[in-house]
Amino acid sequence: MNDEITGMFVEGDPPDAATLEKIAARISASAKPVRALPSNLTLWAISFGIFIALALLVAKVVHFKAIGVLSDRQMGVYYGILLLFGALFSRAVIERMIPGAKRVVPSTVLSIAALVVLGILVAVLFADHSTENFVARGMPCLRLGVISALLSGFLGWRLLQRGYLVSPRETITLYGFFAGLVGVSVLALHCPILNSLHVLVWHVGAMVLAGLAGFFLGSYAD
Amino acid sequence: MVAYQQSDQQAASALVAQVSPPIFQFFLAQSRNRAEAEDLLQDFWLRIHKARATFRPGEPLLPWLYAIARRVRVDHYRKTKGVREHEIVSEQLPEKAAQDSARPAGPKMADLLKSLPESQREVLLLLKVSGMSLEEVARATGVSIGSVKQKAHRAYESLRKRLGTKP
Repeated sequence: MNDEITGMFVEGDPPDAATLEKIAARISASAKPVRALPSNLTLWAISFGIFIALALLVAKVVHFKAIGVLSDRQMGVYYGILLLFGALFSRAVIERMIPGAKRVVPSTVLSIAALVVLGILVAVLFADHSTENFVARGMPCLRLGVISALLSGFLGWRLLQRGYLVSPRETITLYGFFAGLVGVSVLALHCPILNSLHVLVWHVGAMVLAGLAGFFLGSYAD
Repeated sequence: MVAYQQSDQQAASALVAQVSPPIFQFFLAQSRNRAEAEDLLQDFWLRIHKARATFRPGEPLLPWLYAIARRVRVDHYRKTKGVREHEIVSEQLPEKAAQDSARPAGPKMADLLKSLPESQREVLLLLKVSGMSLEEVARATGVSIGSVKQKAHRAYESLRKRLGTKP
């Protein structure tokens, strides 16, 4: 039966020879040598390197205040998870820069998983749930998180321009979450407030905002 | 492709001659007429030219080409959606009749294909017209191999029903 259906796909009319000549002339006229993009591994290393460097650089400017108050266990788990998601987001973004590239990391699953895992992790790691001066103490964190995400977004945009986006909405939304993760990482290095609600709303909230911004920008570009 | 990236004009012409026919069939099967498919083909080549640095030697070429071809088709579909919605039926009928008389072998299959949901039709075209493997189709469409298999299976089921044949 499959053969029968296959047999129905007869070879159709070829395109007009004149059209092909026109196309060939057009692309030949504007042809300049280009260097192919480096391998996925190199691109991944660049993207992941930007993530780490930017988080460390911004945290250095605003001081690594969190390191003094976090326990070794908290640091190991929190920073480990942030690094893991940084690596996964880098990989997912790179996969979407190259048309027809093999996709290993699904973007929607990754974005949701990152928010859920960070939410659970924060609730487990930080026992304080008080809401004293909740907004007043939170706004500077949200601001820093969003600024870090914007810096990352700018660098990411330069990187994404090297590729070709076949699904801009998906890719830019994904990059929005990735940029937001930079913001969360900067705050994880800087903010000394170990309150689960504070971290969840004002730190992880920066990632949600960046993801939403990515979605709207991506929808506009799509 | 590598020579084309190095701005070899002969390689560019050879690539256009070699790649255009199957891509044209891909567009033609999903367009209203030849002129539209030729417009899509030209747009496709402009984008290939713009994106040529994203092809890495050693990587499979077909998924790269068809991923861009899909994007061209989607953009065109969105751009002309409003026009399609406002077109009156009487304008479409002569076009279809002209196409039928010009291509006696194709229309039956074309009609059957048009009855399929877009995603299934696309997968079937990539597998059967473009001769790509399941993995290549998965790469070109950005979905898993399992999803490609499922869409192809559903497309076959639907075609079988319409043709009245048994598996």
